[in-house]
Amino acid sequence: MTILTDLLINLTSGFLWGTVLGAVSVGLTLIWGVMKVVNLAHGESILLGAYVVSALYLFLNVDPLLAMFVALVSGLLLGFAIYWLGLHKIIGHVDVVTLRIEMSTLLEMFAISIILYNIYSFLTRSEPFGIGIWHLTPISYINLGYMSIQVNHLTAAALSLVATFIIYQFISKTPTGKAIRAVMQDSQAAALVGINPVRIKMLTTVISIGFTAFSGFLVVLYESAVVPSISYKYAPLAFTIVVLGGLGSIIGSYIAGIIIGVTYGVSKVIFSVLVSKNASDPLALTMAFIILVLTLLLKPEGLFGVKR
Amino acid sequence: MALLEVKDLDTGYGESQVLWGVNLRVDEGGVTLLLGSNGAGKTTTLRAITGLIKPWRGEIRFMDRDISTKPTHERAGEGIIMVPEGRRLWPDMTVYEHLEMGAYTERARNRFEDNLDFVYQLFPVLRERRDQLAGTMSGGEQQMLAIARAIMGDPKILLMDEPSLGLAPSIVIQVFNTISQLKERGITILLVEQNVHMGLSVADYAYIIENGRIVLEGPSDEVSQTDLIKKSYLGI
Repeated sequence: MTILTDLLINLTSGFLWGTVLGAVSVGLTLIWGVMKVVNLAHGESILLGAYVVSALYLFLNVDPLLAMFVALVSGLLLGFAIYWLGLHKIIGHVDVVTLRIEMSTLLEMFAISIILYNIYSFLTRSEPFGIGIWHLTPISYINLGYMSIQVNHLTAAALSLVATFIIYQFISKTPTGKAIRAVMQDSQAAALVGINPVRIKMLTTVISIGFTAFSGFLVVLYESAVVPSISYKYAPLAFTIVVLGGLGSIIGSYIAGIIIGVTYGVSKVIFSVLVSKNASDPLALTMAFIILVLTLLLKPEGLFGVKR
Repeated sequence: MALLEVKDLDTGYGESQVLWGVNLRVDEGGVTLLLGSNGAGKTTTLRAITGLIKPWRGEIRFMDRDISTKPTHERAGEGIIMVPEGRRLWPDMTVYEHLEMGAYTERARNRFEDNLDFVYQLFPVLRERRDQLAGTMSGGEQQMLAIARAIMGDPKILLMDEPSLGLAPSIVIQVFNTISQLKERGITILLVEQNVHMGLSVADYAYIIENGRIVLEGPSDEVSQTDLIKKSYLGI
């Protein structure tokens, strides 16, 4: 196999994985960008959706395409619980969010993260759990000539695009979406025109975590099976992507996800030639975080963010 | 009948008290002026009326009902609308989105078309710039948009916090012309200003606040003749 084919293969799979990463980051950019809640339980919120879809499929034989809506609802409920149990006393007021408040949410979400992580580990004994190579069509692979692609990966990419488009339309076009943006940019000014900022903050938590759990379905579709520690891979990547895309920007997150996915794919090829095949995977992931450092140094507001 | 009444109001931030027994009443129609120097408690009074700060003592009555415990957004729903100091626009939202969001409450939505026509007639530039992001406009344009957003809320009482602050003299004149036009339309206004001349010229009734206490009140033509105003504010 020539390096060129290798590059083409990794570019394609990096792109497809990038769309999943993009969708995974959208929920985080909302909860962090809008409400300054540093959601350290982001990885566990992803896992919730992955586990819900897998459990329904394995135990009750529910079609994953139906189960993804249950994943969404489970995330909405988790968001509701997190808001009222943990966040309301910290962010449930009209005042402008200070750094101190942002730090308090970080600790709160860290606690929730640990609780959920241990529940998952207990229930699954930390063993891989998932829908396997479930597929939409009679065939599992499509041959592109230079490589064959899992139908699941294509499905995940297509669904990530549709879901991101829907939530983008919601935020930019509907009255509630506009109210969310108004609260994000100046919550006191929002209250002065009659928007209830506390209600909007609750709603944004619920929507963000709901969307994140839905994206967990895409992750398990892509990965076939998940273990609790996969949150250590996806959550840091999502933080990187949100910063690169610009805090609060949905389109920015989606595009940044693809950039990170493609970077991963391309660096994997480069490192397998330069170093070794075994070392290429961790080194390629490291590239993503080098991009984070470079973003913070050169363009701290992100690709689609606004300078303040 | 008083539209708005502030009775024996004490309030402040944290440990420090800013207002000491403030009494104020705004009758329907016309412009009431609250005049005072920096740090006298003008903005704090408006923040208490809109509910952004809670009263420690005393009450705020609107249309003869105590609203002291209502949250800000509910007061907006009843028609208490403020043009905040420093404009407080949403920088990444367009002009038209500000106008839409200004009419967020149910009673404002019902009058959306009427108020939009009026706003465009007052500030034709906002129609041309409807798709521009607020953060990219000049200071004067931003002040117009802040006033326009408030008008879209269909105010029963419009609170204006130093609308002339930091603007070029020609824009200041334009802002005060706008206030006169709002008055003609029958909108009740409570205006907070440091600009004594302009403020008194447009107002019907004036209060002077010093160190968190109302020290003088009266019809504005009488107030402008008092020694206090001549000496402390006009420097005559």
